[in-house]
Amino acid sequence: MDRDRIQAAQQGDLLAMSDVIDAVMPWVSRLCGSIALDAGPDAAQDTLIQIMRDLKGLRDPSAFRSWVRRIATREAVRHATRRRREPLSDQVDQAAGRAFEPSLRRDVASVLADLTPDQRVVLILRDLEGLSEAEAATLLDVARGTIKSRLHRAREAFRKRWPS
Amino acid sequence: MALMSANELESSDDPIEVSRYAWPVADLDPVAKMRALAAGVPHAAIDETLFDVPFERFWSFIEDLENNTALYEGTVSRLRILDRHGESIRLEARGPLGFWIPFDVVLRSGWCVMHSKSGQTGMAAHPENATQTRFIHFEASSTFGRLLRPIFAWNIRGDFRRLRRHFSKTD
Repeated sequence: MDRDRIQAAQQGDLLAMSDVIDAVMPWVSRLCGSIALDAGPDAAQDTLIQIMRDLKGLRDPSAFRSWVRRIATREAVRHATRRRREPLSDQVDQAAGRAFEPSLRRDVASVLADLTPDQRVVLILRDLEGLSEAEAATLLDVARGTIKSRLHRAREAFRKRWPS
Repeated sequence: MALMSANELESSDDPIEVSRYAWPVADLDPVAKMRALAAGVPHAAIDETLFDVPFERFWSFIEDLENNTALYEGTVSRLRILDRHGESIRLEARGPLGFWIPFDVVLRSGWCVMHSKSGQTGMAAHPENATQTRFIHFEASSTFGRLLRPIFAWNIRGDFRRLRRHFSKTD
């Protein structure tokens, strides 16, 4: 997102703040939906609230993307671990969304629902977001070895459940 | 499954290659997004309610800012649009003291935000079901935020009352 627009939002320009929501929404929606599944909408709303409340305190607008990613990931993990598992069909229906190939999304959501939140978050950060092991370890505040082993188990579990 | 490249030969150290558009999403409606936006506005008075009016009918009334805002918004006696490019609008609203206040506005279906030097306001709506609409509204002053917040809260409740009266008359 444009640096000037972020700064305008930090100074309280409501239209720029609205632009921030528009800019981050597709991304926040995918992170929260993929990690938190049925709790995704709550995680996404809490993420946006935190972004809006704390935006003024972001010192370096060029760090905006990683700052948003950190908030969304933490909120998604928090909601995913707090929420008791619901029947799979409910989780998948809510997380599948409406716009793009709903059946494919439903299939992916159904496979992700069988992974633990810890496995899901590592899988999303590495294979969807493209973070390195070191970046994922820093973001989640765990050792690189932990990322490596969780990722290995997550990919293995995903492939086992994904019909080829 | 056509976008998936996984097969039995792939090792667990290879990335999962699924189109980024196939990952699950968590969509938020405009009302939920407006709640978040208002959280970033200091001392905003915010309230939401449910109207027994279908969304299309409700929003077609709200989005006609020039003709309808003064009918329900207690702090506006007149409003005129100066310039319009797609979703972006520049307008003037006459406030309770008779001064014309310029606003920059973004207006789209279910979403309206208005910014001036002296204050901000936002409205969003979303169909609750086929016959009801959820509506959220916030108002804030940039200069006397804390002081005016209770007055704005009272005003928003009045806006809701006037909107209910309007829709009950036109049923």
